[in-house]
Amino acid sequence: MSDKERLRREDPVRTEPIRDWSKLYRASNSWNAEKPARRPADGAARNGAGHDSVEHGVRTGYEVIEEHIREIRRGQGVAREMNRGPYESRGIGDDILDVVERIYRYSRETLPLWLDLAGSIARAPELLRGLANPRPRESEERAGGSGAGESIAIEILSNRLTRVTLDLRPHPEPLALGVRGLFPMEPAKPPLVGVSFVAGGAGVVLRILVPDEHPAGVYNGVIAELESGEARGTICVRIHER
Amino acid sequence: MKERKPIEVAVIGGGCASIAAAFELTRPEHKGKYHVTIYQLGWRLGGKGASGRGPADRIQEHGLHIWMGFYENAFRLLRECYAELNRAPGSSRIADWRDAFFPAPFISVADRSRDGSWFNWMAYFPPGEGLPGDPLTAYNPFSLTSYMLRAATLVRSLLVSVQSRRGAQDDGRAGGGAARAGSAEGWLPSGEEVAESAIRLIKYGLLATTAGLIEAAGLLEIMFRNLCGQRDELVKRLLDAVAEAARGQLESLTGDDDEMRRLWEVVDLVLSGLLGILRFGLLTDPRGLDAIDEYDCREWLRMNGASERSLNSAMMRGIYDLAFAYEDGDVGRPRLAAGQALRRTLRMFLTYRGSLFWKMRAGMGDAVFAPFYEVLARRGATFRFFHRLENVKLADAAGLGPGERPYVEALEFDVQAEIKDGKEYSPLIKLSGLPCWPARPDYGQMVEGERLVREGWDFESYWDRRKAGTKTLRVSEDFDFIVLGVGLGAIPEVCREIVERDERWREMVARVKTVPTQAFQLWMREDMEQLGWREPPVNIAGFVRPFDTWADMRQLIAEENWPDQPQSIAYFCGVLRDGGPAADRSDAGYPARRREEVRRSAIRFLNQEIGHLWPRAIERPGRFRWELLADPQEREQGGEAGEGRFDSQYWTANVNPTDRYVLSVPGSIKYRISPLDNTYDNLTNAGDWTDCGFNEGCVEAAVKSGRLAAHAISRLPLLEEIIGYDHP
Repeated sequence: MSDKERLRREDPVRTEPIRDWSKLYRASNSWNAEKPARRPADGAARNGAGHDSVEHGVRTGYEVIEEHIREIRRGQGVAREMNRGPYESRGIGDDILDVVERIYRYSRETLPLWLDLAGSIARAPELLRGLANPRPRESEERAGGSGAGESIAIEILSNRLTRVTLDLRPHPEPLALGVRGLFPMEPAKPPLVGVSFVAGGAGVVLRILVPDEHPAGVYNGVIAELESGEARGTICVRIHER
Repeated sequence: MKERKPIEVAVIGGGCASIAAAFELTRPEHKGKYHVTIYQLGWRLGGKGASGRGPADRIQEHGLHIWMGFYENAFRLLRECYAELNRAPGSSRIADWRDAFFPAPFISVADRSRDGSWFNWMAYFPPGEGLPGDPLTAYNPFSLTSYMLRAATLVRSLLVSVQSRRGAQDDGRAGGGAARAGSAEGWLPSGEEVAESAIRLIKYGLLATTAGLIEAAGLLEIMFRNLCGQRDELVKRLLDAVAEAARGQLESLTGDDDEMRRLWEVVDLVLSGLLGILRFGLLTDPRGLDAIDEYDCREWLRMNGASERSLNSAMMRGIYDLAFAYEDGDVGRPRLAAGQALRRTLRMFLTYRGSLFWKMRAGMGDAVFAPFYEVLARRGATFRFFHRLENVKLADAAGLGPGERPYVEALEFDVQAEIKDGKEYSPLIKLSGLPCWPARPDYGQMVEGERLVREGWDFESYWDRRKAGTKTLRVSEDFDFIVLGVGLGAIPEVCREIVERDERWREMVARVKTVPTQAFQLWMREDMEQLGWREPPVNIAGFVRPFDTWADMRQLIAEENWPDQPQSIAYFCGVLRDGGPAADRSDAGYPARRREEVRRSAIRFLNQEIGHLWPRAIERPGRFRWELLADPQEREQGGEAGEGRFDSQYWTANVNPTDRYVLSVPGSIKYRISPLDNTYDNLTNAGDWTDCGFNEGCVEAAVKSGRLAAHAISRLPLLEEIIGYDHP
């Protein structure tokens, strides 16, 4: 054996996760509260408006629930006795019946909170096709804005794998948008000029034409409102090698 | 004099957990404090996630690997890896993680209709906010706020679906409010308006209409966003009323309507889960959802009122299929711990970011393990391929000092092959500029490589014991710490000394179950539409066993290099029944027999069952159109006809002990051992079989475990940085 002193692991502060549901009530920005957040690897971080008022309301709601739960604790054993059926009462004493009643009443008050979970699992095709576009409400909430975003179709004409990233700020009214070419970082490469907004059957179409011999790489450009010239977003096109 | 050499960490195994641990320990922040050596049997990293390129550069995998949008730890590390890799955008088809992964929002669950025919219940999951692996700042998906907000948005979706099924028959009765809620983009009413609307809906019975329910759900959404200022009592009244009315409406639709019946089954399951959460006091139990891990998921839901129909629904089957939750691989014995099932359901459906599922544009080896290999190599990690761990040797207990804990004294390996000139094996090949793993090792780098080819050495098989030599690593000479990242199935043999001495380890290997799996892949000459599948590219579960899971992998066509390009690619997988008593290591024919079993099973499946999904893929019931299959070597060798054509495809029986899939059987979770456990003070476990906070077989669990193992050694990452570790 080596003369070197054997290294030993120190005991960790704890060896188990914290399962306490109060962890659900962490403030939205507490995940990285102890240290500066590491910069996102690809700059994809998003920041949004805080939800302090919602947190307050949620905590209030939780206190209501907790009162109910203290009562419900008494009924935990009832669940096992109820194995014959959800609400069957044959052979169960009055005391337990009373608990069952209370459980049912308390459950009715808080069941709706969780009915929402049904939506996360149950999806119908017609609805979900209708939800194909991300709801602008969520992004609007973060940005502090409001109003409907117009949907934009993207048409790519390319014989190579091409990825488009579009960042567009929502606006309360439809805008006439334009983009004057997309430019690479490398000066030797030509810009990608076949990029334009055109009117399509159901709205605006962003058309991107990638010539067959155009050099692979990343091309970026600004989307501006035609009338005012103000920037409304950016577009990034990554063209792959064959 | 104090040693200044880096601390040597031996990482055993090259799967997700080991790679995650290595990635954490070699971070630049550690300033070279740790030197990592990864010991891997065979020629490729990946463990159960390994893949290789076969004929026509086709991708050959152990099974189906799809990542989920809640894999926060896995995506975070992957994105950091790609950022550090910094491939030039034109240098290969996969330069960035967004090239490697793309959203897969469609899933389907197969079920039988009342008339016995198969029905595919397809769901589209709208994009989740942000991308997995984004920093958690203002929008924390694990807060109750987030759960409630998402749920409120989604329940409105459910109700809209009900309305669309019923038609507009009752829309008019709700008045103008319905139109406002249904298209309330940008409408932010005041608190008084919300309260007024809520009272109107309740008071005038407008919740009896579907449109009224939709408006109510919209109001709930607003209320959850702005609870301050709203009367809590009003919120609860509205919630209660909505729930009761919604259940009534759904129940009334279940008559002959299969789709609505399925929706009701889901609602039934959710309501039962809710009641169970309340009955069992899980909201305030310090154990969180672990408190019900003794129960089987179906059993627990049944206790809380779920109907037998719902418990046998396609959704329920899908939940079990996703976890291969069949004890001993017996589909007649579904077993899944209720707490972990509930945890996974919450995380999967309510915390996904970007997309519910994310598919890869190449094999997992190419998309994940090759980038990690390159980055780790750049950081100075050492790779020892063809090293098969045979024994973890403990120090003699009699020789321990006062207060000294037991520790690992040595690691004993079989060296499967020597590399020429003592060099480090170079494992990757380049295909159109993309670093990939080959399906077979490069024998040209090995000493006596030609002989090894001739003799058919199978470096990944548990039953092939051949070796070129042995190696023993000693504590303080060759390693200081160990990250044991082998599969659980291998533990009884390689850790036999620990298992013999330590009751906890004996309980772990006895109680935490594993199961073999099976898979096959098809490349076909016609596209999915021509085969009769008209839906979008999908992942489908709950279909006929044993191959109950199918994924449309058409995105890989462009990645492969066929002389005659196939038009579709399909992956199938499922659990494989355990073959009786544990196969003796001397039974060299065992893996071939199991593989043949999978082959026959796949042929039978294609003849008898696939027509339900792809009606044009069969000539007649019971006869698959074998000519559909694309043979990569047909031009050179001629193709087989009939069922023999299946031999040109790829299939696998994953029966190696280290390849077995870990289960979350009720009552077994508590026997898992955490990577943080410090009983053996120079050893930490890593893998989805450990107690890692998300105790189920999956990439995310493995990555979390690896990060925990790194923490155990270096105190980094902080436990609070391991996303979702502290979670109910």
